[in-house]
Amino acid sequence: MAALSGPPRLVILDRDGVINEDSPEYVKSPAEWRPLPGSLDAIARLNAAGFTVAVASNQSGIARGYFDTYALGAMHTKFRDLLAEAGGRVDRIEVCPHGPDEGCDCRKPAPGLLERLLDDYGVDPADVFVVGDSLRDLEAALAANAKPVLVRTGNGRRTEQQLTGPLADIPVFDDLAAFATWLLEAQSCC
Amino acid sequence: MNRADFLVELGTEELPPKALRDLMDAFGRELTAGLDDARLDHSGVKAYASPRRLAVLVEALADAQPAREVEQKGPPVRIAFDDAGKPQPPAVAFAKKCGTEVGELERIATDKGEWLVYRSTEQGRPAAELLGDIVEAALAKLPIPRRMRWGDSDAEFVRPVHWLVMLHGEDVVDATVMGLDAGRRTHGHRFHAPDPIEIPAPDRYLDVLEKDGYVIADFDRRRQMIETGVRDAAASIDGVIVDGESLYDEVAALVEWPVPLLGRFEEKYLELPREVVTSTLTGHQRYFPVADHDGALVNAFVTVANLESKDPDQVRDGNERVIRPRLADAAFFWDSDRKKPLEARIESLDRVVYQQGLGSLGDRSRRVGSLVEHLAAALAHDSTTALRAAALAKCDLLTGMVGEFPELQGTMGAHYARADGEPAAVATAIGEQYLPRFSGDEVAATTDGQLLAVADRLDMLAGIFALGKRPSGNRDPFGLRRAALGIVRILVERELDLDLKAAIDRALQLQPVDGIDVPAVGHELYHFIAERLRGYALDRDPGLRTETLDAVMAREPASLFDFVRRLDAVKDFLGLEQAESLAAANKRIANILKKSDAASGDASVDRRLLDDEAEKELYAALEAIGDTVRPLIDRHEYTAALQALAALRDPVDRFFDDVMVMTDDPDVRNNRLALLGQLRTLFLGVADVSRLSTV
Repeated sequence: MAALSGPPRLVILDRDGVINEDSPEYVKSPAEWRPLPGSLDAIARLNAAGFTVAVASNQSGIARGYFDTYALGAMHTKFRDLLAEAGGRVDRIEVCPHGPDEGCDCRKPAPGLLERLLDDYGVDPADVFVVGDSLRDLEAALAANAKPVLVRTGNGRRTEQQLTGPLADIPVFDDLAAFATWLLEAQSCC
Repeated sequence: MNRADFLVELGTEELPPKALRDLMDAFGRELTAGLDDARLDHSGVKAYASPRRLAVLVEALADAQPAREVEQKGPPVRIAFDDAGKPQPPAVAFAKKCGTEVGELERIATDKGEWLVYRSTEQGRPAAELLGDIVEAALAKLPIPRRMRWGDSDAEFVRPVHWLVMLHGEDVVDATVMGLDAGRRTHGHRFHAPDPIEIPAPDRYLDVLEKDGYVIADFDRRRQMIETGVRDAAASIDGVIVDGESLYDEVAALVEWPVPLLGRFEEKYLELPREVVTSTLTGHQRYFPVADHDGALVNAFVTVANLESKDPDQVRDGNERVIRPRLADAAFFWDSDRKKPLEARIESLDRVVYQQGLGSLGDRSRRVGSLVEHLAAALAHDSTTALRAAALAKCDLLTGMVGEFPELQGTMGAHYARADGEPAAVATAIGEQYLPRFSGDEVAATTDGQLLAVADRLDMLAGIFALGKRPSGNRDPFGLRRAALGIVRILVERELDLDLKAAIDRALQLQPVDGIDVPAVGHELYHFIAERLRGYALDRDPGLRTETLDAVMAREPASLFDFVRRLDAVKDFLGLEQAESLAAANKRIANILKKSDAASGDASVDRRLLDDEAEKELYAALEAIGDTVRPLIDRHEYTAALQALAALRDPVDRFFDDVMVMTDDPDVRNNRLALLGQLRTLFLGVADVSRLSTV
């Protein structure tokens, strides 16, 4: 059960390459939205332990005209339906629709998407893990003063080679399931 | 009491587009009902919706319920006071319960004696206390087949909800609905205006959302903007929008800030059949096809983006890039499908299951063929063309194109049949087999197409009925109601005088189901189809009375076309001045015959037993008119038949005035019953006009 008062315990996930399979052709339709093994179950386990799970995702395919907001809604409905079958629930799903050249403040590595979520939930960024598979997810987490976590799914293995500077020592897991297991064990031991 | 406008807006994730208008209307309706039930007075109510919000604006809502007089009934006076008029415990207790003194109680006299009552004025509750529950109850009544849950909340709705605005005048209503605290903060367009926006007052809702939020919340206005914008975009290349009417509503349910964009595709795809191009554009991508002024497609489309892009060319380019592989797929199917004639696919139909218990598509195809043969024979129509069409009708289901675009079934069959060199009439019939596809769609024009379309639907209905899976309530997973309505429309609109009962029996006999009780299931199926005729007739003539339909339905005409002829005759009959009294007479006769349990219409009348003048006169009139009416009925000239029968009014009226039917003499009695039976039989030749009687 969620705490009765106070800010929620929040985990923010990237979408493509973390929860579902990524594609260089863009994920454009519910049919192309396929969960990675164990990811939905991982979210359900986080929920069961009292975590609120939100999603922050770049979707420049909208700016590029590859799919529209309706298709996006349909993908998220499929996501929520499959997740509900696995016993999990995701709360807010925030998306940046802009292209790389539009100069918006929400497209990761800019922190806009994450800050919107952190503000709305009223949580201290320093308490929030942000899970991603690409460098820009991790850079956005740093810019928002949250805690970056890398998973090796999606672009994760390539990203792992590029971890330097403040990102050099961040936690790295094989996939979302391994992250969830680690986080829940860390919770229960202290 | 003060009044102020009231606004409620529920912010959600993208709502299901096909249901959006219904959700909007239902929210407005249910909220109005809730306010009325709560006696909160108000003026006009207007509902709004966009993909991410449902809202209702109520004008001049009272800030409280009106006060009302309430009357509580207490004990009878005789036990409330003793003989000295001193209050006794029941009176004291009642006064205490009402929070008053015995002296304040009044008395009312009823036919059962005098009682104590307490009359008081109940102050109305403030609207602010009631609105939360009213909104919550209205949302709970929306037509949502499956509700979902999200986040940590226990609330359930069609999609996750994220904010709630409730304003009464300029004040926020202190309420919690679906776990959300009401406020004045809304959200504009998901991307153009992601930060919260404050609504100062209900009457500012639309313009604040439009100016600051990039959201057109008024569904109808948004739809109109889309229609105008899309037409303008087409006009910019001197084109017009075709085959896109149904898309306007759908797109209006998908975008909050419509921005039409014109795109192009390669000209070579115009060589594809027109339906293939329009299906690709509308079905997959919701693009509006464009044609020139002669109606020929051009290589352009209009799409409606949900945002104002800084770089519209990029969006246009992306849309063009998305449609290109779809058209390329379609072109590939068009080429590869034609390499194998439909005839060569017949064999493969046996390997595709049609329906558990009803065999393969091949089995179905052969049954439809047998039925076509039956129908052609019944209508004395040469069956050669329809039989060939029936044999090939399902083959296009095995083509790549129909696999990709199921809505093109039949249409592709016709194209491929033509390409195979089948006779033109065969191709046309294949193309017509699924008509009418939807309400208001056209009906097959050729007799061969009509036979195939009727046989196809009859086989489907008979199969599912044979399996005992007839639709119940609102559930109709096989679309049987639509299939039945299709049969009705074909038979009636194309004036096919077909014995539907015999055709149903034949269809049932062909089903691969053991132990079908053909008469019973057939009767059930006949009524299932005839019920659709009822709805169809009422649609065409909203003034039609159910009694009129009942009068014909009682005769269960085997031909639905004949049903309609009789219906028209009864409608004409109702315009005659004699109608009412003859309907009443028929009802009276029906009751007498039912009670007497004797004399069917076949019993003959013995002239020698006729004794009263009135009955002799009626007999003579019946003899004369019967000879006129029977041939008219045989020729289906029902209006003329009823007109002739109308002349019986005076003799019938006199008969009932002067003659006692249930006399003691059994011979005379039975003779009179036989006379009435004959009269009734004549009318029944057209319809059971006793049902028209209002007395």
